[in-house]
Amino acid sequence: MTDPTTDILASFSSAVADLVAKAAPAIVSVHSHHARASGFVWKPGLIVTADEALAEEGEISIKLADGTARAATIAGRDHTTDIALLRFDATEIVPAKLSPVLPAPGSLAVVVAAARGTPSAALGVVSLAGGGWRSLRGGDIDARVELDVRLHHSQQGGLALDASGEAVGMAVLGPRRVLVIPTATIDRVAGRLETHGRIARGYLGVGLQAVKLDDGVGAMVMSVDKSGPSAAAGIRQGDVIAGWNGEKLAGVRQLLRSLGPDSVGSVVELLIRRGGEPLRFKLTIGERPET
Amino acid sequence: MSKETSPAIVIAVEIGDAGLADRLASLLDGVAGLRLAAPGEAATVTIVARESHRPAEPHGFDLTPRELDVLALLAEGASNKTIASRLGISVHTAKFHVGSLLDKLDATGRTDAVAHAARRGVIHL
Repeated sequence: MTDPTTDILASFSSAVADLVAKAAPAIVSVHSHHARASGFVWKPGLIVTADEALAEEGEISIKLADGTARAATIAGRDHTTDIALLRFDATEIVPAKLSPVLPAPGSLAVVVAAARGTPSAALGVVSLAGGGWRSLRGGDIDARVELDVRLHHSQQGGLALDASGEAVGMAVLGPRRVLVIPTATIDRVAGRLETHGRIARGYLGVGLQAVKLDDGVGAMVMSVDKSGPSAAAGIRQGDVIAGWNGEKLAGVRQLLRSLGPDSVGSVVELLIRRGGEPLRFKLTIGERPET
Repeated sequence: MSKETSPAIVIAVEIGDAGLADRLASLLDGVAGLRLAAPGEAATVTIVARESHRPAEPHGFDLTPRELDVLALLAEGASNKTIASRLGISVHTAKFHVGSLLDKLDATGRTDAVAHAARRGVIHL
């Protein structure tokens, strides 16, 4: 009679190996300068990878699951959500199927990545699954998912699978933890990168310092970009922004939130204190130039 | 007056870097002829860091001047490449500072780091 424990372990083991084998054809390894990472085919001819693991300059080559190497170019990258989109010339690879399902905490997670074209895997549990959050750089990420797995640098950009083999997002290295960039964020950001090549940020063209006002907080204009939207609106150095679209300013962070990708081109009304006198200005939000 | 009866030199250590201050204090402790000043005691000699003294953060949030620069740029949404070019350092070094900053923020559970950066200095928006 066979030991039932052996059967359970063996079937568990082969189930995990099957998940990896099924996902592997859509996984690529990404080589840029000295950096090695993983990625997956998101749409025909398009690869999603981890922006943090992609070199800032130089050529990019990818290695497919069949072992062949291809050149790739950057379609766009967004460091606020750690998503980079690459183009390559093979359209015959079936893209990974992403699931919008949010994994439950404690459920199994398998990361499928690739090292030099060879599949690699990591196994662990979903250690946290929560609501949307904002990265330190201001990127909107639709769910907070953390994995209790050991992820090698080269596995950044790999797919995180749940126990039924559904891809729930991209595995990346956060500070001291492994994060999943969820499907909803990938589709939104990569979709925008595909069509626009970048994630725009709103731009006021001022240097601001938080100041206390008698009745709340304000943002004092310390410097003005001469060719920026604020200068065009007539805002001067020394002005204090006290209100935004009819509401009192809650803080500089609120201004940051108001300058997302969709803000570019919109008109806002600013309440300004100049020498203590209230003034109103209409300002058309510009697009932040890359410096 | 003999050496034995000379009063000990009282040394105060006023260094913002808690680790460095601790190491200095333990090295000076036990050296004949000098002793560390008690809290509030007037010292004969004060050791200060070569860089200007920066009082410890009131919220137990101790960042180096470089990390504060990086934090302000992160708040503006800067990439590692932008941080590197704005601070005149390599991308590799920029990544290092970002990493240690994220580590510190994470360890102290600070989620309002951007607000913190905004209070400390000028943010370009």
